[in-house]
Amino acid sequence: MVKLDDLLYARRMTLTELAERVGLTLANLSILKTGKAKAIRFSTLAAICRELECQPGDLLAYEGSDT
Amino acid sequence: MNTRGYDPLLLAGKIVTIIMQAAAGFGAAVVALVLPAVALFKEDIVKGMAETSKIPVQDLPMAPLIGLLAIVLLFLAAMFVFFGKLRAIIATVGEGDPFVPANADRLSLMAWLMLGVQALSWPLATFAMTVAEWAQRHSDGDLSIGSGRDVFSLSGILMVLVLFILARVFRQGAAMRDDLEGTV
Repeated sequence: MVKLDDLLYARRMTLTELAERVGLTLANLSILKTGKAKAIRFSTLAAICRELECQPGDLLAYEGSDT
Repeated sequence: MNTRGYDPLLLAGKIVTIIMQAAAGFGAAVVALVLPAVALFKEDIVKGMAETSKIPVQDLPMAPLIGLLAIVLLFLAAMFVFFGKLRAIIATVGEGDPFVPANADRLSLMAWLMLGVQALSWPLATFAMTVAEWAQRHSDGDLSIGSGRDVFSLSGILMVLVLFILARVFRQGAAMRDDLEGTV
């Protein structure tokens, strides 16, 4: 699970602004935000954490399926 | 990467494949018209030729001639499809997205077509030799048709191998691209 919405709201930043700051296209950042990304580069993770002043654990969480 | 800007290699490839496909298609259409005419009206054709030609055509090897035309038709049809697939691959390169499963399928088909062409070379040469020998017998030195039995084409076999290997490369590339597509 990607908790980008909460962090963007806390920093009063739009998705477009974040995309420009981390060097990603808005389309790719939207893919990440909606949880459709298959993988994230460490460089992208580091850039997002730098701009949002957070830790990777603040951004990503694991939700196991109920089996 | 979109390579929609001017790319001389892709442009040349596009032009050559269009010309080759058009030539193969036209040739196939002509042979497709001639072949049934020869097969159905061979007696009339021989009779007509006997009346107008000095060459004795009664022993014209019609069966090998018809076989030759049939194989040429298959060749030309295979080449038409081959260049069509190549043109489609070139188009995907121009769009900046060549590593798609469709290109792997196209390359695989092209390899099979080349293999078929190589396989047909032997009967083609045999039929052509029969017709050439007939022409040689009756030419009185005025007509000389060469038809070698050297049908083993190393470059053709190599091309088949390269195409099959390229198909594997593109299939792997398409899988890797698919993985990459969801990476941010």
